[in-house]
Amino acid sequence: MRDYSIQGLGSISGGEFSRLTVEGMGNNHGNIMAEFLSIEGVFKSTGNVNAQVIECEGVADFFGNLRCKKLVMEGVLNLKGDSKLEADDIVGEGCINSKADINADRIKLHGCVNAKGIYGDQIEIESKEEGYSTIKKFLHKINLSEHGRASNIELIEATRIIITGVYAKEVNGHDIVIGPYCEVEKVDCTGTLRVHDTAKVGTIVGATPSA
Amino acid sequence: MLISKKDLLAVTGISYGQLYRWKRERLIPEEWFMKQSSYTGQETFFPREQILSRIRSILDLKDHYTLEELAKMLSPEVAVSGYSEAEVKEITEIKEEIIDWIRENYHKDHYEYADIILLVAYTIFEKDYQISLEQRDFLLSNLLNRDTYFSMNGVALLLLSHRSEFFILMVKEQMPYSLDERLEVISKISLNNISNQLKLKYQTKFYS
Repeated sequence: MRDYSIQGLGSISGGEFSRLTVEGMGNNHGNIMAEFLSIEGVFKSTGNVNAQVIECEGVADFFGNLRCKKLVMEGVLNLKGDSKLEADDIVGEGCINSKADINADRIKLHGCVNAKGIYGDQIEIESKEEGYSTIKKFLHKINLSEHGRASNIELIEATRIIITGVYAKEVNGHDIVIGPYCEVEKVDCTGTLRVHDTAKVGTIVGATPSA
Repeated sequence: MLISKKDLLAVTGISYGQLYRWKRERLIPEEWFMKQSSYTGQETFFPREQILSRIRSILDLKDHYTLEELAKMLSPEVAVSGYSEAEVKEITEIKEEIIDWIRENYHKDHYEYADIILLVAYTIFEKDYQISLEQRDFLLSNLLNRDTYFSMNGVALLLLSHRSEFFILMVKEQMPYSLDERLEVISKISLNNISNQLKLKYQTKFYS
């Protein structure tokens, strides 16, 4: 497998790579298999992407499914259409926008996530402005939705969930922390539930309140 | 029959994390996650028998194999595409006499994986019911000359009877069906279950 780098303007037609880096504006038409994919500029890809590690520090649009062991976010990742995202770990800061489902063992993201469903084991999403750089505040603002929150998710389902500043229609899990400024219509909890004073929660099912 | 996701987690004791990890690793087929409307909104249901059997298999085996190895073992696909008569005779779940009978009557000495699953199911029928040679000819010729594009995934084999005659019907496990009321369903076998059991027992034969 080879290393390949798009610097400036460039286009590829899928392929197998050891390291694929995009430092300018890159386009891809085809399936990609890579050990390491780094996006530092703008990348638009049609086709499925399967990688060990993906680092997204720029803006990436994927018109196909994305599957990886680890996704490190520092920018904006848009999954178009019904493209799905599957990963063992999703970490970092930035925004993930999807109209479909995200399935990951562990998510620890500061920034925003918009998705139909987020499923996994440990999910921690913190959407708030404090401590962000100017660029991140701007990214955060342009993603605000009708609920006034940067993160809008129809369903979050995981063993352990911690959210801040998130709107969710439904949250199901074992141990759940609904942090500051969240709005959740329905919570179904099989373990312990903690709700912050500033959070708005509709229906609660099956929870043991925790201090 | 279906089971809701909440009941599934309660009955099996697995966590959301395990369920979704196994889905991601293709240990649980995506089509088993069936979203349906309920009075509380939308809820996910699973084919009860299949998901419970699959989770039991995963829990039994997960400490001995990697998730990748398990996915190969439990997926409906196999790496090897054809089997000789001698190889099929090593499968003790198929009555050896049936293999000999097929060679003598149909001159068949090469089998696909789907043939093997069907013959295991047919052997169970013969063990449980008195099926004459004339009936065997009728039943086996239909099974072995089935449409080659017919997928075995999620299919159940039904043994029907009317007076002293037997009939076999292949149905998708979750699809409703309606039968002539004179026919009685006397046995039902999930081909996925047979496939799982065979792959666990004869691993190297089917995917090495």
